Amino acid sequence: MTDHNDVSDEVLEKTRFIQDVRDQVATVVVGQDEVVERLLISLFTGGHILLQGVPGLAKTLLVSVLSKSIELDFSRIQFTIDLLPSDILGSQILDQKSNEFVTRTGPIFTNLLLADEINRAAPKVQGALLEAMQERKVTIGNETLSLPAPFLVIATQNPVEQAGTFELPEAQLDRFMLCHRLNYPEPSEEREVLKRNMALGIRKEDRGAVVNTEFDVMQHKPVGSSEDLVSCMQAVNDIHVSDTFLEHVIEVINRTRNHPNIELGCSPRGGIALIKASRARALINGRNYVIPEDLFVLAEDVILHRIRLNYEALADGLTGQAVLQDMLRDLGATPSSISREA
Amino acid sequence: MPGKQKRNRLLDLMRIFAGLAFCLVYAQAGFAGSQSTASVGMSARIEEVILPGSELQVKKIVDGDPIILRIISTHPHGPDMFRYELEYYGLQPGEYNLADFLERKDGTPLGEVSAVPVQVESILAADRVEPNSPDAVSIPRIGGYRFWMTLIFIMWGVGVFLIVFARRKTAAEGEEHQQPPPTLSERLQPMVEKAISGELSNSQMAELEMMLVAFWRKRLQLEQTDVAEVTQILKQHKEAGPLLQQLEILLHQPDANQEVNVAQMLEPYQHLPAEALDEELAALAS
Repeated sequence: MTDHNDVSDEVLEKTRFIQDVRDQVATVVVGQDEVVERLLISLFTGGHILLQGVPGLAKTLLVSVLSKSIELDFSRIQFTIDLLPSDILGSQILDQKSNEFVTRTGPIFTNLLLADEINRAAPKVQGALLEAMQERKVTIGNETLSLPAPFLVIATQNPVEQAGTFELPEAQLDRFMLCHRLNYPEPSEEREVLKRNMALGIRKEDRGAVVNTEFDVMQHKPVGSSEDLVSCMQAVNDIHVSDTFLEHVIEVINRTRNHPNIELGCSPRGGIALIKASRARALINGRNYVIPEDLFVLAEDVILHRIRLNYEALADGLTGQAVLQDMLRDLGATPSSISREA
Repeated sequence: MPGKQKRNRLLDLMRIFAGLAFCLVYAQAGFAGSQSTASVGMSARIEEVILPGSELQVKKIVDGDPIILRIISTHPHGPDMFRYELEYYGLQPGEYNLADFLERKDGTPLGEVSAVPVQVESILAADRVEPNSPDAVSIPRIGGYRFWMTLIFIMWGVGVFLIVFARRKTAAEGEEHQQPPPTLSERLQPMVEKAISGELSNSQMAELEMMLVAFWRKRLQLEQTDVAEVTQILKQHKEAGPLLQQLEILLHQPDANQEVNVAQMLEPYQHLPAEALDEELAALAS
């Protein structure tokens, strides 16, 4: 409901850049607008994101095209049970010529890191990654190295196959600013995916030919640079957050802590993440201020992985999603959980 | 010397007689000393009992037998004789012949068998039949154990009754005094009044904003719809849309260049009867 005439030119300029990125992503990935928005939110706020979804929803492709659209480095690590922390962070190896140890950095030294199926790795590997995510630096041997900026971890988790996995504990999940649950594409989007795939064709290579994939047809021309990204990050930081919005955030966070079905409520980090993400969403939607809609839209991604239902709720067959929706519906409908003075 | 010879012969006869008498007395004493003795209930063994005839076994025990007899071992002892090792214990004091409790294994009559006497003695005094015979004492009807048990049971019953009664009374009183929580309309009206007169703080304005959203969500029967979707629907609504837009400008937009007339914005909700929304919903439902 915001009139763009009211919005500053600076915000409009950023909105154009964001739209260019979205258009570029749309050339390869069909639909998934919500995921693209969440990835941009993570990118603009420097918060990491966990994507929960079954395999085959173009997560890798999405991150790959996003990195190429903004000219960012991209690495992908497939997490497995036998992965070691040094496989991610790097290690020191002996140079036989100089007879000295040389530091070889691992794939974590990138801008966008796709940690595929993070729950398949052993807890010490998860711990090493999550520590690096938090501190944005890595220590190899005696040497402490800073990670490049921007640094964003996009981790994925398959919610179906849980055999042989190591579930991330709440404390580590809290490190992810957002946890987005991917859904299957709509029938119309699926139709488009199939049509595009059928039109990919083959390419000749050596004496034979290989079938093209979406990765092959990806345009390598970036629509923005890291400077654009930095200016967007700055713009997000300038987005106005009213006192009223702050009260809404406090109310929501407080309700998670007092809800009868919730054992572990949202941490203060959850409140911070909610405001950061709302600011980024406001910018993406061409506003220079946040509104309750941002809170409602992002609540599930920010709050759901930070709360834990109690035994009674689980025994009743309730899900975190249902409890959170009920809680949000109760806002205004039931008296505030915080005592307010006139 | 015929007198002297006669006298010597007499002395020899006397010596023989004395010797025979001694042997008889000694034999009697020895036999008497070999009689087995045991007290009631205590077992005793007799070894090397040689009995003539075919092999013997213990008769079947019947109720009232004063002796329980057992043959520990049997060995042949020359032609037509067996040597036995016996164990017994007496149940009643008295003198018994163990041979009375034996029979031939081959079923032939027992015949002439020398006695195997045993004596079972009682340790208790002759007049004492049982070790301790308790005397039955009648319990008095009033006082003592029965009285106290009855009293405690009555007190326990009264206590349980009082607790149940008190709880029911408290619950009933609670129900009487407990007022139903205020409806959304009841809460909304005073907040609107205060907002128009500018008495609401930022936090209360935030609550008012959510109450208005909840009001329209209820009015449009969107209570089960996803909250994020509801906001989009409300923004498209002809009445709720402008309200939310004005609230957005008033509460969230920085340096709003449009003045929002709070009184005009909230005027439709100022004189809203407390039960208006509920009545409206009931009408919609019917």
